[in-house]
Amino acid sequence: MVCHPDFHLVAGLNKPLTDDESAELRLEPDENKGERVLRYLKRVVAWHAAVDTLCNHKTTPRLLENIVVGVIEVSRSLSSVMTLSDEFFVRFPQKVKSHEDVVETLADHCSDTFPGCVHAEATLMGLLNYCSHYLAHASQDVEIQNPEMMRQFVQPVCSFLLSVSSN
Amino acid sequence: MDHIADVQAALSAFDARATDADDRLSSLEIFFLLRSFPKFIARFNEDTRLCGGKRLFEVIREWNPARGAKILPRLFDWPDWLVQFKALPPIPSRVVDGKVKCEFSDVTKRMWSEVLAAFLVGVDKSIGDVKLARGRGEEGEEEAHRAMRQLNEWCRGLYYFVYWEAGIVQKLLTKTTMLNSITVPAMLDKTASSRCPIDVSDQS
Repeated sequence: MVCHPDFHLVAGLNKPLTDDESAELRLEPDENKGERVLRYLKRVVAWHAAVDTLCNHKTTPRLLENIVVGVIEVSRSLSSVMTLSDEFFVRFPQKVKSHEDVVETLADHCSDTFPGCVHAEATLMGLLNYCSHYLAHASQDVEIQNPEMMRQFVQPVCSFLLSVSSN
Repeated sequence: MDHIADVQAALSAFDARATDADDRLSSLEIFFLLRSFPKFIARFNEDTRLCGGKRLFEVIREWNPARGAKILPRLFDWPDWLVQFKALPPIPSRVVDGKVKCEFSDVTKRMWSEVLAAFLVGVDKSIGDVKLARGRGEEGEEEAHRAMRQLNEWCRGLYYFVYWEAGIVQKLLTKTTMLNSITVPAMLDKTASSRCPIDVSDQS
């Protein structure tokens, strides 16, 4: 069989699209070649776009001073509030003295229909985006079953952002 | 968790009002580039998939534009970031009322495509320089650092060019024949996602 002179390159091109980078480059609906290459370029400079945006945003310094980041690990098959609270107290043992309050808070916000995901940043962005979107377009088609509960859940974050940006 | 703490610390250290804000911004950008370096390289090299096996800068440089396309001539003020870049091909410009302006038109589109290609080649070459220096271990540490700063400069320039309000990159890509020669691999076609991938092991 005749071997293509750029065989290795061709082989690379025909690899299954299992990695997320390649999957991202599939044509989107109504997208042409030029638009896709533009999207490719924007993905290449995404880090610089993010830094530029963050460093030129007047609220960033205030947010960084006040933000508290916490991480808890939960099993993929989160079944109950108790599973979540057990993990919480392993991570934050100093909070045991507020045991009842913590369990109550978790019980209020734990939902079988919205278990969240392991990608915490994406979840937070999704919640914020959803909340602002819902407030602006209450009739839009969104797939969260209890939008009012979600709005209340995210409300403190929104209030904080608003208070910072108003200063 | 450590990464989040590092990011928070790095961002907190930035002060836009500091006298050395430019240096701090570069350091911050390099911090993120270093943390994401393998991902960044993988992402940058995806152009071969988009361009049927060629690099995007090769496709651009092989472009032989036809005249008479519907591009309305536009003039733009020189942006600061473009003034600072010395290692670029000639920027199409014209003097209007004693002021030098950048010009994008059917006549100058080829020159602007060279500018885009230069940014892409700059990024590509700098990635190679970083890898080469890193391959020399401790001996190449200083060189790797220098190459990384160079890479960051090219990336930032590309970022400014892509997002420049003049929209020249977008017009080159979507309003000209610059990409006409590329053939889209079937697996990147929107209809191909459900097809079985080709097993090339049987083709040798």
